[in-house]
Amino acid sequence: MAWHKKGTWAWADLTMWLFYLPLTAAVIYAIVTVPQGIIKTSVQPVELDAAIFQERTFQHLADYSPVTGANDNTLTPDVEQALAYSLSQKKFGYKITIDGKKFAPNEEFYDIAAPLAPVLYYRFTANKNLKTATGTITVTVDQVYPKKYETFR
Amino acid sequence: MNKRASVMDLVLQPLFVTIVALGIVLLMILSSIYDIQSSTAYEKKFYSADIALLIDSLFALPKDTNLEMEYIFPADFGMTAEHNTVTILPDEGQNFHFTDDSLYNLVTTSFQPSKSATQLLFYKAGNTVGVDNRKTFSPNLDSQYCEYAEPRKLKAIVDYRATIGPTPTLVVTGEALLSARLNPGGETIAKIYINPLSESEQIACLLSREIIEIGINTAIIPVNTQLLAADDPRNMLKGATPALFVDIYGTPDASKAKILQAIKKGVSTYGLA
Repeated sequence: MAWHKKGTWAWADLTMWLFYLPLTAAVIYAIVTVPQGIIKTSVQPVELDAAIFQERTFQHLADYSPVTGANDNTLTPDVEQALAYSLSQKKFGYKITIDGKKFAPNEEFYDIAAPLAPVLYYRFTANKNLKTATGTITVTVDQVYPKKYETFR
Repeated sequence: MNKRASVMDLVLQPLFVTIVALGIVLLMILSSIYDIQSSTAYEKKFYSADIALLIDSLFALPKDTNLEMEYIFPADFGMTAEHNTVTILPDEGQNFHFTDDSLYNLVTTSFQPSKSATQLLFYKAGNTVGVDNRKTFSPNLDSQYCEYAEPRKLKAIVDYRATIGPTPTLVVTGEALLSARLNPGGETIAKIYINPLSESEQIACLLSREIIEIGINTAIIPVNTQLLAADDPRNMLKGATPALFVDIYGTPDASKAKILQAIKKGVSTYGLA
């Protein structure tokens, strides 16, 4: 009986050390880190940033007429200049496709990141129709962002 | 001896160990909750990201849009927005990047934590995007946006001694022509007639922006010169060089110096060789 009792205690110790203590440690770690992780994630507004940049690009590509005092959704004649107005420190890549022609100001990063989306990067694609002298064409803005903000050094 | 043994027994009791362990766990949880609740680092990160994205979104507005918006800001914090980065003060630990735009002139303010700086004003007015914390500040929301263009330098001469009156006066001559006239009657407005050239449009836009700054509304009007009567002063718009005819209605003589200065400033902004 005494032997049996000792054996029970040995198992109890082993269970405590191998199971309950690590489990307790894991639960404490989760309680401490999960809320902070959620809070930090909430300050990674990548989707909002992508939506803003996409709209900004469309605005740059649309010409403004001082005569009408309005943006008349006509494609600007100098696309490369329009894209050079806003070059970002944030690490993200984008490609603009206009009637088959491609413009990618940070092509190197885009080419690496785009195939790795959506596993390692977020990818956002949007289209808008703009007017030209010959009719209407579709402009595509394709962006890839790291899942957490980084900057170009 | 017995007493010592009983203390050791008590310490090694599973219930005692469990209570101590639970106490430690509870303390850690409470400490973690307190950290989250009083996390100024999180607040700073939040405000830096929010302000940076707000500046970015002002750049994303349609070019013809002017607006201002009030933003409540905590008195415990200050702010700088320089070199494409918004930093929340004090202690420059938390920041967030925005992307400047060369189409716009970004005007920001830097300030330390202050009870008087609890409200910021974000605005877009013409080619200016800004953040200000002065209570008395009010942007001119009538400002006109003008596209940025690398102009072809024109060999033209501005007559700085010219004065304007009821008869048309040439203010700019050479590769660009600009004539101005003052009409005392009617609603106050400056009508800028142009010939259909992109350079004329750009000069007219810059001119219009300066005239709006002195409180006079403007209209830019392209003219088909073939339809003009022989004695119409706008016939000076005929030709292949950029040409503008500025007809200013309803302004008193006292304003004409300001108007003339605005016209000259607008033309100079375009750039002459």
